Amino acid sequence: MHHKQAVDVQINDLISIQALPAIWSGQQSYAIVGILLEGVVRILQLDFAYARVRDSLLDASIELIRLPQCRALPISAEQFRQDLRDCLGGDLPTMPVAIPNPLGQGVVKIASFHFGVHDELGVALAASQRSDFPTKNEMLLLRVAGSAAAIGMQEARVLNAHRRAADELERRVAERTAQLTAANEELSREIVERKRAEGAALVLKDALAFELSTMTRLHELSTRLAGNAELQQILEEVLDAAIGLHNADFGLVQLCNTETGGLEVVAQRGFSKEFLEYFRDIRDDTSAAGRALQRQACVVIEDVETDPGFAPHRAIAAAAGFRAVQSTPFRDRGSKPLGIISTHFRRPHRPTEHDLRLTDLFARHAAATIESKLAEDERRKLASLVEASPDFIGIASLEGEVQFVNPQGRKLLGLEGDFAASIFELVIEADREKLAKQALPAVTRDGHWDGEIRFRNFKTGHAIPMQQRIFSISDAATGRRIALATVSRDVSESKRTEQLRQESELRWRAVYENSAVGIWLTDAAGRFVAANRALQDMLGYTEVELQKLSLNDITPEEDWEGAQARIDQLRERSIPEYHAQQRYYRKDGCIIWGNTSAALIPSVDNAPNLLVEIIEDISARKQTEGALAQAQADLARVTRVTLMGELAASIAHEVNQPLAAVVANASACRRWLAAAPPNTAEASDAADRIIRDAARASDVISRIRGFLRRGELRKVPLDLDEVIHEVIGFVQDKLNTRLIELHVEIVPGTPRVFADRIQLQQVVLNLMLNAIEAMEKVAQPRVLRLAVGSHGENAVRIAVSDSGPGIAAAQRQRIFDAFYSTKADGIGMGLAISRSIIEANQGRLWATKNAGRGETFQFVLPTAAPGHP
Amino acid sequence: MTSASSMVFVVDDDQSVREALSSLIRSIGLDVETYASAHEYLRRPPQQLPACLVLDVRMPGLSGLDLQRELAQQGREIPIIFVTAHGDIPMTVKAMKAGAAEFLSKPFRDQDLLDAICQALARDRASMAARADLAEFRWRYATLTQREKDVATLVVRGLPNKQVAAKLHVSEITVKVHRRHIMLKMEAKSLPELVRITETLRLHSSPESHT
Repeated sequence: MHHKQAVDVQINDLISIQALPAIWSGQQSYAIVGILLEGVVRILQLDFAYARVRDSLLDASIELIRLPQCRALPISAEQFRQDLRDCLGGDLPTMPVAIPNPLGQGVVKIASFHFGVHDELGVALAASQRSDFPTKNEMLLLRVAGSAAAIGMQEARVLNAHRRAADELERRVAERTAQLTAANEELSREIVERKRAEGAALVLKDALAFELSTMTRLHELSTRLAGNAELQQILEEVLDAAIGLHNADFGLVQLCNTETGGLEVVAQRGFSKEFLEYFRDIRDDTSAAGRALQRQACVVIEDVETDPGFAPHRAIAAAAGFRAVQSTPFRDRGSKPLGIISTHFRRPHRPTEHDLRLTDLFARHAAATIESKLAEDERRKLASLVEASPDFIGIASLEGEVQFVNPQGRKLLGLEGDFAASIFELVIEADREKLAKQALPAVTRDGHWDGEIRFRNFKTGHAIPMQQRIFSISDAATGRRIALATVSRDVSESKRTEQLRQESELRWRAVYENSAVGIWLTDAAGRFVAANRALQDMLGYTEVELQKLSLNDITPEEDWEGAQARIDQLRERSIPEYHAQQRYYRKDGCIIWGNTSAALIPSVDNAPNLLVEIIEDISARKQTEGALAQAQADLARVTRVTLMGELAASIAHEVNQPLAAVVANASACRRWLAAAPPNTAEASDAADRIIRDAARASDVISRIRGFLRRGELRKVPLDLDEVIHEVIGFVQDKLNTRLIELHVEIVPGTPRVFADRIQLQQVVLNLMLNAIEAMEKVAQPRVLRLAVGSHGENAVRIAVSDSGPGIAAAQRQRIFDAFYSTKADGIGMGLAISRSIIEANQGRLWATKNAGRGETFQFVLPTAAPGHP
Repeated sequence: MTSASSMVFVVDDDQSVREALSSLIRSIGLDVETYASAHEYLRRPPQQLPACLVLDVRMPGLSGLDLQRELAQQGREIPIIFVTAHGDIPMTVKAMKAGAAEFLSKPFRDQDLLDAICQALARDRASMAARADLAEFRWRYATLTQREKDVATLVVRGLPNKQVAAKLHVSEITVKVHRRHIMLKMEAKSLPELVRITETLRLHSSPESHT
């Protein structure tokens, strides 16, 4: 071993030893020795260490032995001590000795050290099998350790002495204290006992006081309730009382709604609107009140947070701020549930039985009051009804003595002040038997009687017809009849009205039945509700048959739309009535024409509106009109045919004259040539005339051809005044018979036109005839206007205007087309030819709608060139 | 036939027709006079020769039918042949009722017209002769005394002399004398001839009364 290392180990060991007192500081001697032994065994790597010390505290010797690593002693302590004594003798060796190892094989070297200057505190042995044990250093360490332990033991001894003194003191103090405490406890017990007694007395007093105050309050409440307080006020008083009783934080009163069966909050303290809304109408048993109502017993929810049934309402309860609630039901005298008084607490709470009992008492008391209040309200309402009723209301005893008549009844009968009368005296003599024999027995039998009995007015003596309901009033409890009553109405006014109504009805029925015009009523769907005799005759249906039909069934389909439109206007009130000529189907399928007037009959009592239609059969008139129109049309056709015939005749004449001449000349010519000798001069003359006349015929024919269709024109300067007046000559007849005014306006100095005369006349004639026809169906005044004047520099305009209906927009495009006609019997050539004629004469023809009525057809033609004056 | 023996009048407003008809009629050797209007014709003195009138129905002013009526009123008897460019039945009926000889539509066959003219002339000639006989008979009858007229009236009724005498309260001899005078004055060779003459007179007794 190196020296240095050895020194280091020793220093370390020394430090370790020096550190031991820190460990045992404050410990008892035996503990110090134990720690010391353990330390030296470990530090010096001993086989064992042994010590025998005197414990000052215990005042006894203590032996301790420690083995390395806290091994247990392999032999008994007694054996070990014996072995050690055997080896060492009574005294411990002052010098190291070798002895047989008491704990194993071989020998161990033993070094002894002691505690204290002398070994007055004890001795110790260190044993090691090492042969060099103990070295000087080890011995030193042991002695240091022993010294340190001795110091520790000395300290411990002092400490022990102190501790002992302290303990003694404490013991004495404790002893004394115990004595005092015992005395005290006795005293305390007495005090507690007394206090308890006092407390009990106080509690009793408080309870009595509270009971008293409650009772007082109850009494006050009853007194107030018995007064004329309003129901609401009563309810709030009851609630306040309950809240005060329970020392609750909130509360509410709910009353059963007899109609809905739910509970309605009628008074409350401390709840928000939302909360009240939430619990506005309680029916189920999730809430305390609902449960209380169902069970008809007080319900307490100590903590809404834990009550499973209340779960649905926890949120709203939390929002309202209560944790506990009690609900107490109250009933009327018939045990019918009236309502619930609930009180609410911010903290979980269980009201005492006493409180609950009191609450119940409270509730019963309140119930009685509320019930009587309700009944009183009811009575008051009934009383005002009776007072204010416009009917006669009277009550009489079963014996028939009048006990009560309401003001209206008194007024009606002229009763004043107090009166005593029998019900028979109220009735006129003639009806008394009816009252006695019919009405009263019926009341006895059935409980009531309805019928008419006349009262008399006590002042005037007049009879007053009354619709009576006489009935008996029974005691609610026993069902025994206690009085007679009547509610009756003066029907004289309604009788008069009824009579007037009947008279009116009769009058109107007579009018309706005997009217020559058809009258019917239809409902909203157009179905017949009623139809009078004239209408039935008109249409050929019976009233029963008509009632299965609707308006559309007798209206030609093409007229539906118009008829419906008129009815709709009536229903919408946009027109008050309408008058129209309408067609209807008779039952036999014929069409009749009716002059129809219709109006809405305003409904009464929300019944649907009815429509009344009045129909005058104008079929005959219509037929006449139709025949007249037909005759006019025929006449027009005949006139046209005649005109055509005359035209043809004049054409024939025109052509025939030269033709006849030609034939005659030819015959003559042949005869002159056939004569003997032939007269060639005469024959030649005849031939010349043939040529001349044939040419003339040809001329006529070509002109006619040109007149009828486009052919060679013979354009000459024409004076329009002359041309037009010739045409007017043709149509003058028509103008006169059709009452058409003709206005001809020819601007003086209008230049002549260059055109074919016949063609021009043809066009003007055509336009005038069209104008005349256009005005056939229009009302007076019918005006045909012919205007002639210059049109620009080199043209003249001729305009033919009528006051007819004008040309429909849809037809306007086509009127100049060939074979297109707006007239029933037109062939559709007139305007087409006219336009082609005008265009062939370098003019143009067009139509314009008049500012007022009718249409204007006009054309322009070029003026005659200056070369043709 | 000679040109002096008859006359054809043509009234037509159409010159061509007038000229043509004139030529045609002249070609068979008849004399023709033409007039452009009814008025023009009426201004001409009544003809003495057998004649006929070729008349256009439709004319300005007086029409053909008007002229026919006018001539009848004036007692100017002349057969009328109507020609028309567009004859119709009512007009034809009216004309024929008024005594038209013929009614032709233009254009007509030349022969139809010429035949009609010849027939009309023949008829006019016959009626002119009849008119001449009647004048003679009237003159002869005027020579009878009243007694002779009475006897003649009864004789032509076929009464024997004896009964005539009884009716007139004269002797049978006296009747015979009157009868002989009558036959002489009336230039009647037999009783049937006397009957024919007096019959003619009786038929035309109305004009006679106006004459």
